[in-house]
Amino acid sequence: MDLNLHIRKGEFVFLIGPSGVGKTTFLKLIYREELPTKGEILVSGFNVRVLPNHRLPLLRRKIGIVFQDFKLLPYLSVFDNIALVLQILGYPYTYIKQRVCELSEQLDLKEKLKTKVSNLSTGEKQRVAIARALAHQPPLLLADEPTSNLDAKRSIQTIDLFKELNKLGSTVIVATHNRDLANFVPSARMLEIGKGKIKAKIS
Amino acid sequence: MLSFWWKKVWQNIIHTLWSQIACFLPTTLALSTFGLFILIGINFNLYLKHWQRKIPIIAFFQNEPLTEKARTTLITKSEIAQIDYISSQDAFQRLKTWLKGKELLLEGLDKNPLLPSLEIYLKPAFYKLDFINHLVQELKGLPGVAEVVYPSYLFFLVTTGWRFLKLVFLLIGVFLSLATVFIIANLIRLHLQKRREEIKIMRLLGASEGFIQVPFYIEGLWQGVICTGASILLLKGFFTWINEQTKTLQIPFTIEFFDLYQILLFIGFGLLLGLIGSFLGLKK
Repeated sequence: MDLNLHIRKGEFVFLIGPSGVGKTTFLKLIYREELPTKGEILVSGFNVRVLPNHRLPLLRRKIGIVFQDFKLLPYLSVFDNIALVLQILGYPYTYIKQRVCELSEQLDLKEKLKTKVSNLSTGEKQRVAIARALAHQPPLLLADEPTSNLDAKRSIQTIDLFKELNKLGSTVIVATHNRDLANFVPSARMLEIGKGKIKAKIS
Repeated sequence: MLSFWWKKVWQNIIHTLWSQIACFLPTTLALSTFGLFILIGINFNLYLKHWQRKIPIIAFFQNEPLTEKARTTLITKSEIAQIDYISSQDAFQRLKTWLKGKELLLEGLDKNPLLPSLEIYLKPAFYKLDFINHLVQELKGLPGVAEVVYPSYLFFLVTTGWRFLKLVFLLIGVFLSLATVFIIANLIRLHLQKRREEIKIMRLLGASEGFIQVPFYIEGLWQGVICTGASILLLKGFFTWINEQTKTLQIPFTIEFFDLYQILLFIGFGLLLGLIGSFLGLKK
């Protein structure tokens, strides 16, 4: 992957491209699940490549991530999965409860809060993953194919939630192969990736 | 936060119930054996102290005035717990009691051949061979002393023998503690392996190593406490049974169990072993 890219604070960016071109890798490089062999990645003042391991949680706490494979804890309930990130950040239980309820309402998960994640459908799992990523209102949101298992109505709902977060000043980067998704955010910047390179910058 | 960790520990326990049970049995067994050795030690020590009070150093004197004089000198020594003055007459009376039914043996005696003596009992802290030898030499140097006798083999058992036994018990204790730590460390390692994916997810969400490790430490502590508690119950049952048996068989013998302070100390020790086990398990 060879990229030279600057994303400003508060921007809404769509990374568009077919499967296998490196969209996920690009996101993984940002939260350092993968390390670049050379070059520099600067995120919220952190130089990701040289960031010592003990400081890595500080970077990741600033990022909300919707993973393509959701990365939920299957034997925990929906509530516990969404609450996990808030517990990691040390929020008090009353706030956690309130925030989880708020998100579960927005994502139609209220009835499922006590259900184990392993008993959910793929679409429901994806919504839990979205709720978890939004829970702490992160300054940076990375979403990897966040609507791949959702119907049109819920996809729009999800993008609306991302837009709300973006309005609060957070940067949002959505990796998707679905070009139409970008139409719901007219102000967004679209970057087309092809074989690890930015092919086109479409405003 | 604490409620989250407790919840997490509880979930972990339920999630890994079989390995918890597999760990519980050998750990409880190791701690029970360890506790048993401590209790044997405690009881042995109690009986030694009991016997110590019955083993005197006896100094025989040529006449009674000198015996009395020596008694007033020795009584001031802080190492001595008690001095019994046995006159020739008392000694003869004792002999008569011992030979009850065989009084014929004493018939040929025209006068009391027994010497007056002092029976010296030491304070428990001074049952040390060095001190005993020193005291015996000092007694031999007193005016009018005919002979000093003491059961040296018993003193040897009380002093050196007990010290050796303590060392053996200590080695066994260390070995069993290491076994406990090893079992708990392996349990933690096993659970770490089982929850590899979960830990990876938590790291991706920004969890610090401390946040991830706390439930494992709690789990180790929990194992330590539960296994120590079970060991205490097991030993209590065993000791009650032994005491009942000795009562039934009319053996004048009672074995002591831990007092409350010792129970708390034992549980604390279990906690410590659990903590060390978790630490070693997480270290790798």
